[in-house]
This record gives sequence, C-alpha cells and structure tokens, in this order.
Amino acid sequence: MTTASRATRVLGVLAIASLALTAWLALVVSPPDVNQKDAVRLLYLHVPTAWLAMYVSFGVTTLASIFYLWRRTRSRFWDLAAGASAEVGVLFIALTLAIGSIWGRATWGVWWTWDARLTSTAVLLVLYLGYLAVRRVPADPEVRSKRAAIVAIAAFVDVPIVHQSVEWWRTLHQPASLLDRQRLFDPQIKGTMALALVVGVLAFTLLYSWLLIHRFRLARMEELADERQLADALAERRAEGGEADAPVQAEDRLAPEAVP
Amino acid sequence: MTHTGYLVAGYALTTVALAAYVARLRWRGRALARVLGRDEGSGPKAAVDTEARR
Repeated sequence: MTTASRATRVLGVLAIASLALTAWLALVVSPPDVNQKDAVRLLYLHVPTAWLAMYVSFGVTTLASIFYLWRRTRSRFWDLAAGASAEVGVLFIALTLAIGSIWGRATWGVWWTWDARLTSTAVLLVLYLGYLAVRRVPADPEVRSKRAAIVAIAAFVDVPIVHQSVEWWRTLHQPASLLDRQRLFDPQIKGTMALALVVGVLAFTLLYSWLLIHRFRLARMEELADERQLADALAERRAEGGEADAPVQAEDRLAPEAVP
Repeated sequence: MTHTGYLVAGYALTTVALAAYVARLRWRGRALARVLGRDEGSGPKAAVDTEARR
C-alpha cells in the first residue's frame, strides 16, 4: 500500500490477527442463544461497529473539528484527521445499520422498523454523509474546512440522542448491555460471550486505527496532488502568456516608428 | 432463511465491505503516488519529502 509504513504494517497485522481471533471466539467458542440460536453471533459485529462509529470515529471528528476551529490549535492536520475519521465512521455506521437490519429480520421478523434507536442511527448516517458532502463543496480550502468543522460539531448532537434513545422512548431495540449505568460492573452478558464481545471491540478499534492512518495519509497526498495540479496550471498559463508576448516584442523591434 | 443463513449473510457483508474499502484506499493511494511521481520509497512521508525537494 502506498500509504504504508512499518508502523502501519505492524498495526495491520495486529488488526487482522485480532479480527481472526474475534471470528473464532464468536463463531466457535461462544454458545448459541436459546431463542436467537446462531443469529446472536451477529452481536460480535454489530456492537463493535456501532461503538467505533458513534463514540470513537465521530468523537475524533468532533474533537479534531474543535481543535481546527480554535485559533491556537488550527492546522491542516486537524481538518484532515476530522475528514478521515468521519469517512471511516460512515463505513462503520452503515455496517451497523446493515448488520442490525439482518439481525432484526432474524429476531423481529422485519428488515426495518421506525424504532427510535434505528431511526436516530439512520439520521446519524445521513448527517455524516452530509458532512462528507460539505467537505467536497468547491470553496477556498480554509472556508471549506471551517464550514465542515461547524457541520461536524452540529452532527455530533445526534450521538447522545442515539445513545439515550432506548431510555427516552419505548423501543423494540434492547437497552444497553455493557454501558448500563446501573449494571456497569455486573453486565448482563457473561463468560465467553462477554470475552468475544470485548475482543471484538478491541479488534475493531485496531482496525479503525489502521484505516484512519491510511485515510489520513491519503488525504494529505490528495492535497499535495491538488497543489501540484494548481502549480502546473499556473506555470502553463505563464508560459502561454510569455509566448503571446514574444511576437509583439519582435514586431516592435521591426517597426520602431510605431512606438511613441 | 435460517438463523445460520442470516449469520453468514452478516459476516459475509462485513468482510466484503471492509475488503472493498481497503482495496479502494490502496487503489487511490497508488493512483496518487503516480500523480505525485514518486519512484523511491513509499508512504506519505516519501511524498512530502519529494515535494519538499522540488
């Protein structure tokens, strides 16, 4: 990979190895559920992708956007980091919705329902797709980055709504299994199921870090390519201008009386 | 579809989506590396170094 370095190769190997361990724990070691049978194993994908998208990816995007807007810390680094993290987050939130839909079909009998948790998560996907669209609107780079940072901070308002949706409204979606404040140190999920879930969260966190670094470096390369293209276009225009001037100067030399 | 069928669909979809995203990053990275005209080394650091040398 052209955006690779020794560190990212190590990170990539760790991410793939931990994902393989997650698959083994999820598909072989952990038991099937009494009611959901094998479909319960979708939990080990659904929860980590949701965790990564909502709290980590969009959290990083929001923090990076705040750092970009704050004059003391403003730099291209924060803008590019925000964009890279949002793109990876959109991938994970889309996967969360897709896996959730498949799981919903297996357990509830429907692919989709306008449940508060599902709807607010779909809104979150649309908001961050909008954020990525704002990043592509042609404008002065600084203006575009400021606009995007404001949109990112506004979009993050939906994250606590998604988190609390199962508490605020009567939903088909189950309440929190791990981040339940009343049972934080005594979660409902136990044994190999809990182990598979924790390893899954760690594996997806490594995967996120790996993808984020590559996407960030790619964004930097895109900027360099744009700068190069602009510099080439300006040089071309200057060269064209020079060629246009040359015959006029020659004519002037041939007809000195024309010059006042 | 059985419960196992839904399980396979979920894992297959995740694998394909992640692999497609990684492939896109690789393809775009290589395309940009060609645009930036880097012959030596790899990675963004090399791109930045090449740019600085210019």
